[in-house]
Amino acid sequence: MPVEQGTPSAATTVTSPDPAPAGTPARRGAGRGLGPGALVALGWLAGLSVLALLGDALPFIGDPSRMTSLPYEPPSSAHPLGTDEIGRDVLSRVVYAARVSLPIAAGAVAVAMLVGGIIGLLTGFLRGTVDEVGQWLLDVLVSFPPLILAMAVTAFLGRSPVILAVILGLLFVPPAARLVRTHTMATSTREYVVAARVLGASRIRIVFREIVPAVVPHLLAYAVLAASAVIVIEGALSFLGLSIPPPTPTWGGMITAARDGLAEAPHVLLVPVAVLFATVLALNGLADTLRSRLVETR
Amino acid sequence: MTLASVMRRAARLLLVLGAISIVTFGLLAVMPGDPALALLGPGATDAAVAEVRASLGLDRPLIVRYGDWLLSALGGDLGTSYQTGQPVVTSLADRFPLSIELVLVSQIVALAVAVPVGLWSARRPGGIVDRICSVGGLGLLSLPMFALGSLLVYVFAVTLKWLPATGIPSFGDDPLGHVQGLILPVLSLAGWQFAMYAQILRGEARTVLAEDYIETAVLKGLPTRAILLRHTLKPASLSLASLVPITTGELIGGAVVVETLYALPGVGRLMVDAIAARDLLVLQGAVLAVAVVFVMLNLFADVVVRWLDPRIRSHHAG
Repeated sequence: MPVEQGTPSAATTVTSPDPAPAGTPARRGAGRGLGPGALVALGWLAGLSVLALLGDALPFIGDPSRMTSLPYEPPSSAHPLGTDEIGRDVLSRVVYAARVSLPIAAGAVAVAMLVGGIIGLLTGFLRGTVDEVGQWLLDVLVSFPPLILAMAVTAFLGRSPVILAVILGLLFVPPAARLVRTHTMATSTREYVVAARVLGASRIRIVFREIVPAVVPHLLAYAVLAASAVIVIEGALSFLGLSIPPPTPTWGGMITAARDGLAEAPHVLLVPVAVLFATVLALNGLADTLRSRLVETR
Repeated sequence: MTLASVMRRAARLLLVLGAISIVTFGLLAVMPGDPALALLGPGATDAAVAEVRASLGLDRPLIVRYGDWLLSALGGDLGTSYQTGQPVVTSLADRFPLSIELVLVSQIVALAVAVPVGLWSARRPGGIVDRICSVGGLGLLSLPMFALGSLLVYVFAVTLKWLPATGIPSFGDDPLGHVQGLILPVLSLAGWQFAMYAQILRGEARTVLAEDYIETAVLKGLPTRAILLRHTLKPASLSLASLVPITTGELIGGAVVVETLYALPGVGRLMVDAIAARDLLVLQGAVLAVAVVFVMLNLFADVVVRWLDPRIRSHHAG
């Protein structure tokens, strides 16, 4: 389970302190299927992505920045989720906001897994000086509170989606690297790796043919958790007005803007909160399923 | 701890602090555009820009500028806010107490609720209490702080009108108002921490209850509550302490969000306002101060973990 922003060595060890379910009959009975919870979570994420991709090609979704109606309209047939503080369609906005959140999350996770994966492999396999320097670099990166670093960097460098994805990705490099390093070191001592070495396999071959396949599943399970954490931090940035600037809709920005009309139009707050919550919950639940699956197969 | 390990730790701390100063200084140096113009804000006259450029010594090599900046920072001079004309250090000193109060009170609240809840749900794994806690915990951990805070405002400030939605009088002026103003911010901050702590305690308690020595204790006739308290809290406190880097990072970020949400004059709000006004020296100073506090807290937690954990302690002593 979820560490909203943060270090993942702990995310793996601590937040799921009970790998106990792995051996319980209930889990074993679930067999190879994913289970209903995980399917619902996957369905939600897939549905949201499809909506975001199709955008205004869909009947109920229009231009998210057009003022099509009076402010604070309650849900109606023309606006299934009502309108916001200046009469824009809330459904369109919440769907278009996914076009900001989801790609940034995907980009950030790609950066974190790639950079963290490479650092983790190198430091875990080579050890020695490389390891020491690597650990020290990671120490520096984790010596800033995540949100503060993201705020400062975007304030100084700008707020394009690419900058956001890179900086949010960098926040998750240290945990990804430590995870990969741990599993690389553990795998390096396994019999089949030792055997490959004795047989004279090159180091590159050992890394890519023996170690990487053993490490990747753990990295992927962490990637899902990291995606949820990135969405939360990006949400906090946009809530503070420090992510992609308006008029582009963002979930955080919608939640901030809903503030002034809470008494008459709570739906303007509740819709983005519900969508954001469902997305983060789906990713956290999936990450949990994946992790207990890994524990089980080990 | 041995002298050698203290020295090693101190050396590492210095390296990290040095790197923090480079990153914080570097932010201004690598910023696209003219830093002098950015410092003065939009609408500055050419003469003023030229003056600031000279005073920043932008023509000198980067390393010299870094040295100068570091020396004055060490001497307690982080520059002056172009907005208020106040030294950055003064604004930080004004703003830090409220942020620290917020963070401390929410930590205490989160722990005070998490300990009984976590232990109680561990008594019967798979029971009703346990299930409610595990589902509720996953839910609470998936609700970002700004969303939880906005919901709390909607329910308790706007709908029920029990508590103020924004602002906080100082404790000296209005003690009751101060406490009332603190309730919603603290709840917003404590929600995630509480869920995190309760889950860890629950996991620890379950592991402990499966140990053989617990059976001995049960056979001896000790009540479950005594067993849980005596045998669970210590190992669990170790896990909690080793979590400090995550929870503090989360709390510091959370303080920024909560101070903005409830319009509280803390350091987080100072940073957000500084970004909005492009008052970059204030931002730079605040980032530096917060990062140093963060590193120190983590170091402190690390020392506590070593002190609590007899395995690590004896290893180092021997």
